[in-house]
Amino acid sequence: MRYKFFILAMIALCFSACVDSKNQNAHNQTGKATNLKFSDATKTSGVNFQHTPTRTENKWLPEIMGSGAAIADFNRDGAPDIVLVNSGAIGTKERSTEAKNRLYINNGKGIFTDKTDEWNLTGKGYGQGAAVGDFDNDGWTDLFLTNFEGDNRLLKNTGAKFEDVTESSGIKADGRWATSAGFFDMDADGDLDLYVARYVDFTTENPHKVYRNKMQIYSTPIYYNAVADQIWRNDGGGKFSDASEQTGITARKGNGLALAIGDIDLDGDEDIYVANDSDANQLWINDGAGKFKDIAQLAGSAYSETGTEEGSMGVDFSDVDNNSRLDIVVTNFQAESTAVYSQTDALLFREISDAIGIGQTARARLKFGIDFFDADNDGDEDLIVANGHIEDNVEQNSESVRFAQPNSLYENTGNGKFVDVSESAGEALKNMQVSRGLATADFNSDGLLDYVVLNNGGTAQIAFNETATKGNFINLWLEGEKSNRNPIGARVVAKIGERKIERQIMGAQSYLSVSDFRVHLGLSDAQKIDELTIFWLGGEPQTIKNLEGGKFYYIKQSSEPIPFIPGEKQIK
Amino acid sequence: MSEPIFNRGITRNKTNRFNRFRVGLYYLSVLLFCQTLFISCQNAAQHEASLYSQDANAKSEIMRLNQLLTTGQSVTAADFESIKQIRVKYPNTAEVRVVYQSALINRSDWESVAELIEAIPASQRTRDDNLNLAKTYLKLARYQEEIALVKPLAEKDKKDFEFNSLLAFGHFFLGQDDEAARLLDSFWETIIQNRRLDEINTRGMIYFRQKNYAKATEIFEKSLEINTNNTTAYNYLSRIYAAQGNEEKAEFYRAKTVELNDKSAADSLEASRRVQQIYALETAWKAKNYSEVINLAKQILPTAVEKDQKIVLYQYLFESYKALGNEKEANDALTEAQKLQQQK
Repeated sequence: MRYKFFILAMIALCFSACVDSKNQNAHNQTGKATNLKFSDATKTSGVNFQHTPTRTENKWLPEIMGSGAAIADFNRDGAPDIVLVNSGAIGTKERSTEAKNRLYINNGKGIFTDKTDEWNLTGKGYGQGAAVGDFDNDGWTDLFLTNFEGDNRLLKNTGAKFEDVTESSGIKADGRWATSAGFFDMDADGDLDLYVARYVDFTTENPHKVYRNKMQIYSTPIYYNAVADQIWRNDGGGKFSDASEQTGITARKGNGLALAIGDIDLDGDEDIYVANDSDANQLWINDGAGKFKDIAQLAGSAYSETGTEEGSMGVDFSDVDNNSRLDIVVTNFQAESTAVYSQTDALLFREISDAIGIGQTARARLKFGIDFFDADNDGDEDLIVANGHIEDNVEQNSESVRFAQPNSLYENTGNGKFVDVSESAGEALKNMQVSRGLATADFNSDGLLDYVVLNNGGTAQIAFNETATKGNFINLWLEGEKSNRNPIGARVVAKIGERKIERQIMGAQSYLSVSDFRVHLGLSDAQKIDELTIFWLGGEPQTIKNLEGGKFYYIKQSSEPIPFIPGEKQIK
Repeated sequence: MSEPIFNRGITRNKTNRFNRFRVGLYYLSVLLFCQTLFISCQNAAQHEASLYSQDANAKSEIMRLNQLLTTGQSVTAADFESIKQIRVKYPNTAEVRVVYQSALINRSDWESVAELIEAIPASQRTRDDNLNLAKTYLKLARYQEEIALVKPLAEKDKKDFEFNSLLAFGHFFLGQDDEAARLLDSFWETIIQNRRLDEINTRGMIYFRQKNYAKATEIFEKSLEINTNNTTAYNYLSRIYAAQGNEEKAEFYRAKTVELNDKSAADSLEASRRVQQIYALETAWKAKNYSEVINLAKQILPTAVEKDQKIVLYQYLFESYKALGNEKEANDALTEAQKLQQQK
């Protein structure tokens, strides 16, 4: 055997001396062995969504932006349903049938039924993103849809259908391009306010033609002016007023694409991170009374590590380095890393993506949607990223970069390091489309988190988590009473022996999307949570002892947990 | 019945001796085979060089493409396809490989650049090949490979500034700050003498990470002396002063960072506008729309920086005026082009 090996080695050496061979896969970092497995369940799930964007020779900027997904339990049966946003025809107010937004109601087993018409889910203009939140605290989660023309819609959930209440709510359109949005309770008064990120002042009247090597390509936002974001304050009674100036967020404009809303400094109020495309990102710190100050640059979370603007597309928070402080992770353009701003000291960040194993493979993709989720229930959060280039002719300008790209899955190894396991984590991650929006939830109630991806000009993908070696779990449906009902802004701390797991219910993350508000906790090999503390926003902490694993619990503020089976019955 | 132990040993020895003989034959045949292959490859390379030297079309096309690349002009998809075709025909010709590599760099196709240089056997790579491969690995964030490549070269010649500097970058990006600092410190005088901004800023960033704000400030101020348009230095100075609670200075440097980034975006926008105008001019020229050519050439001329570009624009003006029968304007344009030509 040794001799044969020697012969082969010599021949290989000899050939390499005179033949132009390619050292393929020497740098392949995406196929590391893993237990994580995701299957493509799109065909069997009942989700038959096709994204319909505009495509013109003009290569208008909105054509390439894609759209988002919102996951929420719209019918209160304990199972996460899905709204998928479609785009349509730029310049046309009404959508064609094929460009409709879609509502898919889940039976708790991951089988969805299209209830778009029954629920009267409308969609106007060129659709972009979605946010969910129970703005009127009636127990039914409502929906907010953004679009390119800025004619955003607030849809009230009556329990059986959506009613467009935009006009009566006071939320006004000003014709500016809105992207991601998120409900949050900025002043902890128990009702949900609304943040709307906005992009640039592109219109079909002022398009810039951009070329690379004499070939027209889709432009970046640097050719346009940034549009200021908005905050709509909930005044009660279903009314909102524009509080953008009062809250201070108009002090700095950016090319806003994505939002993460959470308590980044753990001071009991909700802060906002805005991922701005080719512009400084913003970290708006809340003073507790609903006034914000952007500290991103001084805190080290606005730019690349060398101080340059990046093409930021998506964002999420997670404690990546296990120091009990939330870190900020931002997806960026091709050849830029997915920036991991580690919060090393209170509100001081350092970019560490290369040192923790994310940087190399991230640079090989153009990244949009992003979500941290515990894919194997081992107690730490893994990372899923939706990828796809913005230049539909990029293959003509590069031998190695593609328009359609596979999505990325990074496994958290538990010691602050991540490994890209995309190529070995199942067929779902082999799907090559131009991915944009992304959100996660346990769709089929098997105790493992699944995901949905929106693809620009393609089908939506439902991926089921089929990881065989998995830990125990607990899934919590929390409902506020004094706090907002969803309850966005709540923080959960679970003690399991010596271990501690912290999670927040975030009003927004990813790109144009929002994930399930239910709190999924991976227990590893533990059979129970010894002590669960819920920090309700604006309320007293609630402690629950000895919560048995492997179950879904409904917990109303100040009440005992009630186990439930998702999709079985409506919970009043 | 089992065989006595000593007998087994003797039998084995016999077998081993026979095996060694067989192995010797294998080695010999393999070496002969390899030598034959190597010679045939050398012959093939010589044959290829000879064919290329006689292929006037390929040579002139490579010259044309090289001209495009060295003058910073666009390399279109068709141009690139042309280089690829020639490379298929002449894979071992250095001249062809250099132009192909430049085209890949022009397209920022770093994966392909790495593959191209990796295909050269390590023993045959030049110093420039190794430097380029190391820089490409840095671009691709393939830091482990970069360190594996550069470390032996840096250790071989401890005075080699370039390899040691590249090694320092690899360690820095992997968060191995002490090793990066040690390497940079050992070349600090050279770094300062040669005004190497990247190395200076990297050293400053390490001091910042280590919370040695006094040294970090000193380094970034030095960096600003060398280049005032230095976003990294302004960004870090603002972060240093913010960390120290000096809000006024932090805000000053924050504003400078924003100003520089805005300026950079504005410059990109201006460059893109110019490119768009040039394409429009070429389109008008092809369509024989001479009035439009004159209009666009006059718009571009005030912003044209390079003499070559100005000469080309005056030539467009000359030809267009001539085509429209405006002799005086045509001659004026020609005179301007000639003046610029003489100044070159």
